[in-house]
Order: sequence, then C-alpha cells, then structure tokens
Amino acid sequence: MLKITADIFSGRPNPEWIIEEAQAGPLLKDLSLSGAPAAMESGFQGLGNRGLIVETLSDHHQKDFNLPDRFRLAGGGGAHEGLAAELAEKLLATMTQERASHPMIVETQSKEAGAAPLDANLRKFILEGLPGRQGSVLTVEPRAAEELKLEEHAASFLCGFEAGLFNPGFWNDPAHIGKNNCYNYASNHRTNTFAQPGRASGHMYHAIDCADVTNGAVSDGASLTCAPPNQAPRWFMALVIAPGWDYHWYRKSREGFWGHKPGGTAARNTDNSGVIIHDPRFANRGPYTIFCRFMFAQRKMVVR
Amino acid sequence: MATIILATPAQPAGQMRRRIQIEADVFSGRPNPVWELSEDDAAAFLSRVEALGRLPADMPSATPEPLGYRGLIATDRHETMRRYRIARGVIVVEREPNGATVRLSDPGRAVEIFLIRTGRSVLGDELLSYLLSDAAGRN
Repeated sequence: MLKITADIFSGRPNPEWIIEEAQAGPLLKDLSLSGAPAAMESGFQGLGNRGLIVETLSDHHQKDFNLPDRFRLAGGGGAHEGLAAELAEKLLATMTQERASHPMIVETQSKEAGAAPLDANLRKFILEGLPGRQGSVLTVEPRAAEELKLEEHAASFLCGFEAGLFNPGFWNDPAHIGKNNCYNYASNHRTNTFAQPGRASGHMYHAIDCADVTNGAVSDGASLTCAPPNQAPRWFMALVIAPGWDYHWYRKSREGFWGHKPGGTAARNTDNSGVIIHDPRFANRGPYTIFCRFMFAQRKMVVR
Repeated sequence: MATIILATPAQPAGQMRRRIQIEADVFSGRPNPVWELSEDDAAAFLSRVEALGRLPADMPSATPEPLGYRGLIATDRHETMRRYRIARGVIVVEREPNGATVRLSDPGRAVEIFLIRTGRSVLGDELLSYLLSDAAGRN
C-alpha cells in the first residue's frame, strides 16, 4: 500500500491519496527500475509545486523493491526527471476523491478543511507544475515599462528571457562542485573547467575590471542588449567585481530570486548576510563592491 | 594574477620530503592562489598542528561568508594526501590514516596567520593584507 502526497500547497492541506496493494506493486517496480526516486530534501523546496512524495506503508515493499520508505518524485532533484514526470503522471492517474477518503489518510481531505477537490482540474494543475516536467524553464515575456521591477527598470531592459528553477543539487555534488565556478553557474554551462570569461572564444580578460570581464563574456556570446527568442534559453545574469582581484556572477531563477556559486563552493541563493538575493545590486557581496551590469547568456554562448 | 609554485631545494638522499600545498580559498571567478611551502615551513606547519588540541566532533564551526576569504586548504602531497581546512580558528584534518576527520583548535588563528604569511610572493601585498586582516578579525 502506498500513500501519495502532492507537495504543492503552503496553507491548504496537500492532496493525499492511497494506492492499494494490487496497484502498488507494478508501480513500485517501475519506480525502482527507473532511477527516478529522489531524496526528500532534493529538488525544488520553495513555494509552489515540489513534486510528489511517495511513502510505502508496508515494510515488504522496501525489501522487495530496494526503495526508501519515503521519497520524492519529479521534484526537480532526481537523476532522471523526464522519466520521473512520466511516472508521476501514472501516479496522478490514480488520484481520486475516494482514495483520499481512505482510513489511512490522517490529514483530512475534506472541503471544510480547505482541501482542494481531487478532480481532473487538480490533476492537470499538479502535472503541469511538476518541476521535473519538461517546461520547468519559464519564458519571461517582455513587459510594459510600468510593470518592471526596480532591477529591470534601472537596467533599462525590456527584454524577454528564460528563468529556470533554482537547482543547487546539479552544481553541488562532489564530482562537480570544485570544478565549476560563478561563470559556469550564471551562464548555466557545467563544463568542469572552472570557466573564465573569454577563454572559449580566445579573448580572455586581462584586467579585473567591468570592461575587460564584460568583453570576455560578450566574446563568448553573452548579450548586453535583448537577445531574440530564437536564442533561448536566455539567462539573465549580473556581473560584479572585487576591484583588481576577482569577478563574480549571478543568475536569476524562476522563483524570482538570484542564485550564485562562489568559486568552488556550493551554489546558493543567499548573500553574505544569509539573506535571499532579490537584487544583486543590493545584496551583501563582501569585497565584490562594484556592480558592473546585467546581461544575458544566450544559446550561442560557449564557455570554457 | 599568475599562480606561482615555489621551487624547493633538493632533498638529502634517503629522506622523504613533505610537500605541502596551500590554497587560499578566496576567489569566485578566478582560480584560487596556490603555493607550496618550503621544507622548513612545511616542518613548522606540521609541528604546530601536532601541538594543537582537539575539539569535540559535534562543536559547531563558524560558517565563512560565501564571497571573499573563506580560509586555507593545505594538502599534504605525501603518500597520505591528507588535507587540512583552516578557517576561523578551527582546523579540520581530513583523510586521517583511519579515514576519520579530526577537528583541532587554532587559538588566535595562529597557524592560519603563519600559513598566510608564507604566501606573500603569490598573494601580493594587497591580498595578503586582506587575508591577514580577516584572520585578525578586522574585516
């Protein structure tokens, strides 16, 4: 027997339902062969759709299928997210109000408790919002000037770009964390070369200043102005400088904050004060006191 | 800034020389500065570490700020490839012969300051000053 939870809400009870033994076996077999189950703490952990939580309620399942008794599926943190999304769709097909009323469900799924009805609309809503599903990268369309946030207003950009879900796990595993730096992260190219602006295109920076480092990135294919839709994915980046010493980059995430990777350390979305970064210009950047500019990575960009 | 590995004198026959590399974990975009200790400095470092007291395994460490100086990494390129992470008054010794990790107290960050000073020619005056100021608690 399995308990499935759609981990999507913050205030309302999450949808939960039971899959009986007869159906559970084949599903667990598919899950164990797929490599899609992921750790509970993996993937997207912020506000919104965090994927499905699968919990085995019988001890023999763990031994028969060599799966953890509780794991996350299609939350954006697994090794095979495309497959995870397919399996999540199979599990969602079993979501019914009747199964939510099973005695094994502790948290009430009633309307009075604020629970959402487990119907086709909810199923569609959950499926389309799964972080592991293709399309978790959001295209931010150009907007009218009055709708722009402060950062974009000041940057004078009226550009469309793409913003993916924050995925630190992709950067922070031991095999990759020390081999990729801020430039790798901001341009979203995990090359394992500790990439340097301009090195891939033969015009690596010389001086550690805004102009030289910017020119290196532009030589690699970054754009200082709006990049066209056919250059998607277009990642929104920001460059800062510790004058004479070093540079640092940030990339905007779909959740609205900015992520960064200080050298060989962990990718994160907090600044030197531990505060989530909503605008790199106003974040605590330690010795990186000079804010250079915003710019865009684009499809043709190559880094090394 | 160029990365310079200091040359070291030849070792008397029959005596294994300890080669200890120091990395200043300070940059984000550029590779960190790296240098190798002289024979005398390597011996002094190991002697100092040996004299340090152990910390409880569960004692929390101060977390370095992500941007800026985060500490030193010393790698003993002798056969054990033992590594030391030195920051904020704590030295974490990784890859002990039995696989354990040991945490040592570095009062006044004295070992850290000693190691920072050995990297003067690689770090340059300004970066050296920045690291020493941090170690003295002035940043």
